[in-house]
Amino acid sequence: MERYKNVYFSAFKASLQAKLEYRVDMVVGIVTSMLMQGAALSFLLIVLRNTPTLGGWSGREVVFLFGMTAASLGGSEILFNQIWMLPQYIVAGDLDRLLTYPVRSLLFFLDTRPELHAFGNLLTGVVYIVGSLWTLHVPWYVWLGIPIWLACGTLIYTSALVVFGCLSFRFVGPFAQQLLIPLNLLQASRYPLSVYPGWLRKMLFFLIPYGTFHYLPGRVLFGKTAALWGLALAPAAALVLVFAAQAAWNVGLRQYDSTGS
Amino acid sequence: MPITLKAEALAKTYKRKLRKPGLGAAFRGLFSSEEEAVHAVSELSFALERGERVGLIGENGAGKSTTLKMLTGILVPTSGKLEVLGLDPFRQRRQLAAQIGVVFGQRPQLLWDIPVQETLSLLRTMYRIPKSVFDVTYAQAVERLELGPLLPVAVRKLSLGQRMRCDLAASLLHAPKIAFLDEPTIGLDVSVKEQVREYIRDMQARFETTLLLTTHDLKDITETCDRLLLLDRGKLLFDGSMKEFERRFATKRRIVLELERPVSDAVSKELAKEMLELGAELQECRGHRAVVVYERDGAAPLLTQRLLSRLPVSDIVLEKADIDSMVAGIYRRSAGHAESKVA
Amino acid sequence: MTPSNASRLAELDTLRALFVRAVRASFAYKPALLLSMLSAGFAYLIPMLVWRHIYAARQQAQPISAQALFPYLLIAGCLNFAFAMNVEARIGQRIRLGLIATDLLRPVDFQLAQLAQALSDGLFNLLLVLPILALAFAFWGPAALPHGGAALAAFALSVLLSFVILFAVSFIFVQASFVTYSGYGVFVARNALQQTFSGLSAPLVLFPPGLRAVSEWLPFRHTIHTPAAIYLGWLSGAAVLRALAEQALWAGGLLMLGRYLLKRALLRFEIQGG
Repeated sequence: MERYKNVYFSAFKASLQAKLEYRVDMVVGIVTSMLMQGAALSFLLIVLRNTPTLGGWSGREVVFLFGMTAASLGGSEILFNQIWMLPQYIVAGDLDRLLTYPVRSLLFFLDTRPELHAFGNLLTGVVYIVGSLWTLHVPWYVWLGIPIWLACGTLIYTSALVVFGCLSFRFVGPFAQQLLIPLNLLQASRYPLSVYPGWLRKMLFFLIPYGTFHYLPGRVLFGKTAALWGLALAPAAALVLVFAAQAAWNVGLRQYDSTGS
Repeated sequence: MPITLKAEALAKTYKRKLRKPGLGAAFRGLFSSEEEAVHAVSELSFALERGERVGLIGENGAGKSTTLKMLTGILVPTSGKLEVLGLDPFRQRRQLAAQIGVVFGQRPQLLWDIPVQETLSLLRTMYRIPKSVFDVTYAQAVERLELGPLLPVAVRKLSLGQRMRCDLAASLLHAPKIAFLDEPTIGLDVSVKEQVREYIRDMQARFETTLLLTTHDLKDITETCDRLLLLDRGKLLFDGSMKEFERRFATKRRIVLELERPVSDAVSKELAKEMLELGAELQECRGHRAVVVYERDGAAPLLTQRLLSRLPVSDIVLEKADIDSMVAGIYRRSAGHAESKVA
Repeated sequence: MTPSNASRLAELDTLRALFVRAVRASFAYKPALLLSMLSAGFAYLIPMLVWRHIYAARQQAQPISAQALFPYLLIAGCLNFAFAMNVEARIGQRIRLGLIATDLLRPVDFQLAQLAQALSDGLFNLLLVLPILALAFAFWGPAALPHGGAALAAFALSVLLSFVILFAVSFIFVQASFVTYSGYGVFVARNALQQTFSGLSAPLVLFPPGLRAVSEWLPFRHTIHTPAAIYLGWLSGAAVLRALAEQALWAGGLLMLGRYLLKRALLRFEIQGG
């Protein structure tokens, strides 16, 4: 009985290696994403100059949120970025080839085009997270939770992208603008949700539950609340969203017309 | 032989938005959209046995690719029953995919920016190809399709013909039970086409693969298939062996003559009249060449005799009508009938 | 009708046809149009919400009032939206495809031709932004209007100069396409710099000293902060003229720099082609 490697992992590795050959692009990608994070941080600096705390969160605590957001974004960009190409694939009928492979089409589609921006976002995110938590003197076991919350953040964000992306099966066209909604909402979650009006807060908890992977745990970690359940909501939210993503994809494939001749 | 594929009353209908010209219509289009139904495939029924080699032909828009995509689980049929290797292609796509090989000629896409060699080994992982099988198929592909120099090259950098060859190799790497080849020779040079046909024939014989091939190049069919399915506007016009096809549709034959010297106008006019009386047509009589076309009804000996006596013939060739003109004839005939328009 | 009139009419006709086609194209993908406007709106909304919270919380005294800040943010957002140009995509593609060599052989000046095209893009964007400005009037009344006719004229000129500056910066950045395939990455990098230093998310007066110092040295503040300040009457008299002059200097200087860099790049790099 022969043993075979995991095809999703092999495909990802091959794609990543191919991308890494473009050295200059890799550098551009990293520099670019760090500039983007820098831009966001500069706004935070402007804000903190004009207020001691933001929504009850200190500057460093907000940096923690920045870091979690950046790292989750990076995680999705490195692992699942091809979602951004979905509308083009649908228009060109290029999903055909994918559907002839004996693989889970969604997962295989997602993980075969890593985006090198991710390294900049991941690096920035890790620096922010480590820097902020270190100076905030959190207990050691918090560090165990970070990878889990990050994984949840990546899954929630990616699943949201998939759900919105699947709209392209219904509204066919070479545009991916609808994906900006989950992205913008993710970026919005950099700031403590207590800053936002009710309707936005609800969106960030119930429409796409970004609040569960960094805001709620942060509230517990930084002593803003004693209710511990905030720590554990993220995996549940991630699970729900992953199911939603797969369901949306299945529905989408039924609608997939593919330009036949 | 066991049935590997069975389609009953298979149909696929698309809804397409109507786009009207003009700026006003564009604004109105924001609020409403008219649709029309396109019946890409209707009432398609046929069955394939294990090891059969079938060609699927039809003009553009006839529904060939749509049919193929339903058979491979890419598109869900609007109605009808379909069973491939005992599986429902759409609902059991992944299971079926492991046992079939597919080539899309118009869009040869191997996976990504990675070298051919790596793609092939990735496919090995994907299809879980046992060493015994992989060693054979890989070696065959490299040798017969001359993939050697292409192996280290990134897929992106290959020419169309090279990518087609790699795609073909990739599709048969796991010795699938059924191979669906959609225009596998399109855009290839003549010599490469030959190579590809030989490779397909060989692999098919070796592994008893059921073959379903769509093409515009009818030589693909004559060289690799025993059976022919003819689609026209989503409907099956013909389903039978190549011999039957020729018997039913190959009506015309040609006699091509090479002349020692040109003949006068008077002589050729005389000859033309005589041919008509015999039920043939002097299509051409100019310079050193003359062509006579006639209906296949055993008139060849008489015609030949007359021509040899009337003209200074140095060489003579009798030809069957080629398959292209046969197919064109069918379309002309079917267009002549009162066809129900697209609803 | 003189020949020149006839040809001008023909030109107008072609332009009209192109315009109609462009509008039709954008309406053809109606969800995309709606979504991109929604998304842009949202991206500008977030900083505004943060500021709103800060001002509501009143935890410390602010250098400028809420009445001054929010119109600024709205104008800044509208300008940023209007300034979305396709410069990097267009020129970048021509560099990557190796077409740039033939472009430079044409009798029309390449950079200026691209500038003209960018300006026409911008005009179209401005048209899209006007309804939002109309909303602003509804909310803030006369405070949303520019302070007087002179301010309006100065504002228009300032916006034009901002455009040119942004174009010139993009023109410089896009030349990275000679070495990198990732044109999009370069665009995003330029965009990030612009977002940080242009005053999009806050007027310069609110910047921390370090950030402010850097902004003063870069051209980006002249793309959003300066025109917005003129519009809102924060600059008056001689200060307006000086600001316009600074913008003009930046615009001219950057255009020159772009041309120089392009010439050098063409000499150094092989032109890639299919």
